[in-house]
Amino acid sequence: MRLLVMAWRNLWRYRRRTVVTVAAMTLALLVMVLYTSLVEGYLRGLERSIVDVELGDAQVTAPGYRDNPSLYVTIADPERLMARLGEAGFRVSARLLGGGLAAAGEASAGVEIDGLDVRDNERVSAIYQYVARGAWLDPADASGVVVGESLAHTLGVGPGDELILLSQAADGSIANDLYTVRGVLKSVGDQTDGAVFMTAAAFRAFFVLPDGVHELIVRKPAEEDLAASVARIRAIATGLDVESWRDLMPLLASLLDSTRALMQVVFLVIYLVVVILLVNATLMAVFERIRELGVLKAIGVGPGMIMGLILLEGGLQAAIAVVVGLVLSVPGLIYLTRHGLDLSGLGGTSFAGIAFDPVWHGVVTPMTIVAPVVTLLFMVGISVLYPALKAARLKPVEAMRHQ
Amino acid sequence: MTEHVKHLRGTSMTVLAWRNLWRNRRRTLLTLSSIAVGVFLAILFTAMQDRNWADMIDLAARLGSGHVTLEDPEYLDAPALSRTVRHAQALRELALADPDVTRATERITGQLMLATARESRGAAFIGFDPTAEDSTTFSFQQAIVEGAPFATAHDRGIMVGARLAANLGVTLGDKVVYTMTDRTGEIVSGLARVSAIVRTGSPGVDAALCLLPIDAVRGVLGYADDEATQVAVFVKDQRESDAVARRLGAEVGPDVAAVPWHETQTGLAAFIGLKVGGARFMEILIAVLVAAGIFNTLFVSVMERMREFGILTAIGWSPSRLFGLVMLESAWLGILGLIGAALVTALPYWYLSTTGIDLSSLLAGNSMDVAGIAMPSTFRVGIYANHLTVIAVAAFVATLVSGLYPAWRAGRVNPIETIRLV
Repeated sequence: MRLLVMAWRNLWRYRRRTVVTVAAMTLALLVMVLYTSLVEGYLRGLERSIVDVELGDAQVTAPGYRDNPSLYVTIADPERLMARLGEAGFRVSARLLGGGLAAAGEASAGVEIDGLDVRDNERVSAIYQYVARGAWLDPADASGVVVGESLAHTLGVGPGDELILLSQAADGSIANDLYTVRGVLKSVGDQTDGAVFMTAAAFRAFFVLPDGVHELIVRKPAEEDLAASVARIRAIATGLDVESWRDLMPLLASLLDSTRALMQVVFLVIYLVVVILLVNATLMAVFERIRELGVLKAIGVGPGMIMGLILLEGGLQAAIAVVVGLVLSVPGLIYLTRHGLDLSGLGGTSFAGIAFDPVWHGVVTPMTIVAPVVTLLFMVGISVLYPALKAARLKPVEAMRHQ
Repeated sequence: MTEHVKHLRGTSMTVLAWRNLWRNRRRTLLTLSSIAVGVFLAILFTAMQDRNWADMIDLAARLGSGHVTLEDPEYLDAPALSRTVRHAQALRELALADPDVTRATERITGQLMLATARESRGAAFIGFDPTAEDSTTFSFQQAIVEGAPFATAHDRGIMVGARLAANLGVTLGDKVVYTMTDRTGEIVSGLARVSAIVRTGSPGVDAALCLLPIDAVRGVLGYADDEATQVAVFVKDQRESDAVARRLGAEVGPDVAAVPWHETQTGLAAFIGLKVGGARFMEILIAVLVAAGIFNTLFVSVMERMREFGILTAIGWSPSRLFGLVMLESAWLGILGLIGAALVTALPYWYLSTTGIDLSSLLAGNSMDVAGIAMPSTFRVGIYANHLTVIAVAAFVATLVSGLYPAWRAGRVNPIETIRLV
C-alpha cells in the first residue's frame, strides 16, 4: 500500500511528463476502442447482408446444381422436405432461379430472375426490409416485380414503370411477358443488385415450370452452431447438396475471420509508437532518480520493491489512461452505434460482392472494450519491464555517487 | 576566450546543439527510433495504398472504359445502346493528340442475353476491335484459358467468361444466340460460335461478361461504321485523368462528354476515398503520438539543464539565443530521425516494391473484388514522390513544433534561481 502511495506521488513530481504520457496512451486507447467498434459493426453488417438477406445460413439444392445451375435441375418434392426441416426447428423457404433479358424503353440488361414464396421468404430473409422505393412483392399482384438497385439504374426504371422480361421457358418456347415494377431495392450486393424478384406463381407461369424448386434457403436456430446445423440438415436432406454460406462464399468467410486478426496488427502498430514513448519516459524517470533510488536501496528497500515501484508507476499511468480513455469513448461509441458515420457523400461501393452500408454503424461488444485495453496493458507491461529491471539492479553506493 | 566566444557564434551553435543531443545518448536514440518508426509506418501505409489504388484504377480502365471515357452525355445516367457517339475515329484522333494520352479505342458496351438450346443467361458485353487493342488497353486478352482471340473485327466468334460458359453449358465451338435491344427498343439477335473462354479470377466478371468483335455488334445493332457507345482513352498516369477529361471535354463539343474514371467507376472511387480517409486518420494519429514522445524528451532534457541555461544567461546569452539552441536540437532530431527512417525503410521498401508478398494462395485463385474490380493478389508498394515529400516535411515540422514549448521555457530561465539549483 505504501508502495502504491509512493508510486502515485512520484508520478506527480513530474507532472507534465506524466500528463503527456497518459494523454498519448489515452488517445491511442480511445481511437482503438472506436476503431474496434467500427470494424465489428462493419463485419456484423457484412454477415447480416450475406446471411439475413442473400444466402441464409445454408442452402439445399439438387445434386450438381451449383456446377450447372440449370432451370431443369430442381428439387423434385420440396414440400415434404420443407415440412421435415420445419419439424427439426429450421425456418425454410424455397427459391426459384432463372436467367433472362430485361428491357425497358430502349435499355436492356441481362438479369437473374428470382421467384419467391413471398410469405415464406419473409421468415428467412430480411430482403423485404431493403426496399428503397415503392413496395415489396405482393402475392396478389402476379405482374408486379421488384428490381435490384443497379438494374434499376441500368434500365432507368422506378416504381410504376413497365418492364419486359425475355427468356427461354422450360418447354423450349420463348418466354416473354410484361411486368410492372413495384419496388426498387437498396444496394445489398452484386447478385441482388442485378436481379429481378417476382412471386413464385409468376415465375412458374413465365418459365412454364409447374413444379420443383431450385434452392431451399435454411435459417438455423440462433443459438445453434453453424456446422452442427449443417450436419443436421444433411441428415434430413439425404441425396441433396447442402452448403453453408461459408461454403458458398469462402472468400467472404475467410475475410470475416481474418479481419479480426488483422485488427490486432493495427493495434500493435499504433501501440508500438506508444511503447517507444513510454519506454523513453520511464527510462528518463529512472535515470533522473538514480541517486534517489540508490538512497532507497541504502536504507533497506529490496530490489523487488524498487522494481514493483517502477512497475506500479507504469501501471498507474496505464490505469488512468484506461479510465479516462473509456470514459471519453462513451459519447463516441454512443454516437457511432446510434447515428453512425454517414458515408453516403462518398457514393455507394461494394467489397467482395457485398455492398457497403452508406451509414457505417459501430457495434459494442465486450470485445470492443476488452481487446484494446488488454493489448494496451500488455504493451505497457513490456515497455516498463526493462527500466524497472534496470532500477532494481542498481548498486546503492555507485548510484548515490551518480551526478 | 575571445576565440571561444567567436567560436560559439553562427554555425557553431549547430555544433553545440549536436553535442547536446549526444550528452544523453540513450534518450536521443530512443527519440530517434520513435521518429524513424513513425515515418517508416507512414511511408509503408501510403506506399501500399498508392500502389494498390493505381493498379486497381489501371485495371478498371483496362476492364472497361479507360481512364477517361468519351461517350454520349446521357449514357452515364441511363446506359442504353441508343446513346452512341458518331465519328468515333475522329474522336480517337482528337484524344491521341493530347500529350498525356497513350491510347484511345472504340468500344460498344451494353447488356445482352445469351441463349443456347436449353439455357439462357443475362450478361454484360463489350464489343471491341481486336486489331486495335492489346493487353495495355484490354485485360481480357491475357485471360484466355481456352481457344484463340478474334482475328478480325468481323469475326463470327464470341469470348465467354468461364463461369458463364459453365452456366450455359457451352464449350469451344458451340453456337450461342445473343439478344439485345437496339436503338429503337426492338429486340435483335445475332449468332456466334464460342471461340474462347476467359477466366479473370474475378467472380463478378467470369460469371457475367462476354466479348464480341465490334463490327459484328455494329451489324446486329444497325450502327454506322464509325459509331460506338464509347471511346476509351488511356493516360500515362491515372492522376492525370481529371486534367485530360477537362481538356478533352472542352474540345469534343456538346454532343459528347469526357468522363473521368471515378465517375464511371463510382464504386471503386468511393472505396478508395474511404480507405484514403482512414489512412490519413491513422497517419495523423501516428504523427500526434510521435510528436508527444518528442515533446516529452525535449521537455525533460530542457528541465534537467535549467542550471546550465541559467549559467549561459549569466554569461550573456539572450533568451532568443537559448530558444534557438533548443530549436536547433530539435531540428537535429528531425534530420537524424529522417535519416534513420530512410535507413529503416529502404530494405523493406525495396523488397515490397520489387518482389512483394504473394497473397494468391490465401485467396485460392479467386480475387477480392472492390465494386467488381479485382484487388491485386500480390501485395506491393510504390509511393508517389509528392506523398513522400509530404511525409518527410510533416515529420520534420512535427519535430520542430514539439520543440517550441521546451525552447520557449529554456529562453525564460531565471539565472539567479537556477544557478542555485543543485
